[in-house]
Amino acid sequence: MKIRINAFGVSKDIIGKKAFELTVQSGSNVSDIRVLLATKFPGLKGLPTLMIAVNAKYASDDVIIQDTDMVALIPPTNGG
Amino acid sequence: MKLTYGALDIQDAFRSVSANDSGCVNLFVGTVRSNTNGREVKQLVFESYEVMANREMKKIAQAVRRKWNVKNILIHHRLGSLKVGEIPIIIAISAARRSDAIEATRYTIDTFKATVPIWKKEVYGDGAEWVSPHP
Repeated sequence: MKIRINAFGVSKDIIGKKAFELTVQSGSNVSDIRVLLATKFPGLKGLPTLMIAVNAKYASDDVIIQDTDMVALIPPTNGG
Repeated sequence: MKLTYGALDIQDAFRSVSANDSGCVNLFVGTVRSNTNGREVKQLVFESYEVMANREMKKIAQAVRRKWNVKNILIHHRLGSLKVGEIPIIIAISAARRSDAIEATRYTIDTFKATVPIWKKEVYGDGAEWVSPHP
């Protein structure tokens, strides 16, 4: 299945665009997405942390992704 | 809770949380500084995942109310380009007692930086860089 991913902050610069699609196997979880992303975009591995949000909530590695989910890459935040 | 591209107003924030039955208002006001590690900063650009940022700000306010006895909580954050001296964030908390307001404000700004999906890019005379978090 294809999932749509939004990238923010420095992750957007590493990937080179704000939104992209990733083809994943049905039943994939956040951990599987991490592995795919690291292979496709090695620059992400240089970040101190990279959180994944699913439907605008921080998601742990075991969360299963559906093709309708909004997935977002959340590099270290730094507001204020 | 508010994310806005317009200028933030300290007086407005103060008035919003001030209450007759509260003995104090504690204000935290962030400002854009002119240099980082000796490098001159021309401006900061703030970007946000707004839906999630609003949700995370509400979570902070809920946590504050569980931990301290406070009256009103306000968090305003500005997005877009800001010049040196301008205000990216105001946190205002009123409470009956100052210790609650001060400790809640400290918790709010520290948690905000760690969890609310907002990122800042420093723009220098010769380029721009996303800022890494620091304590």
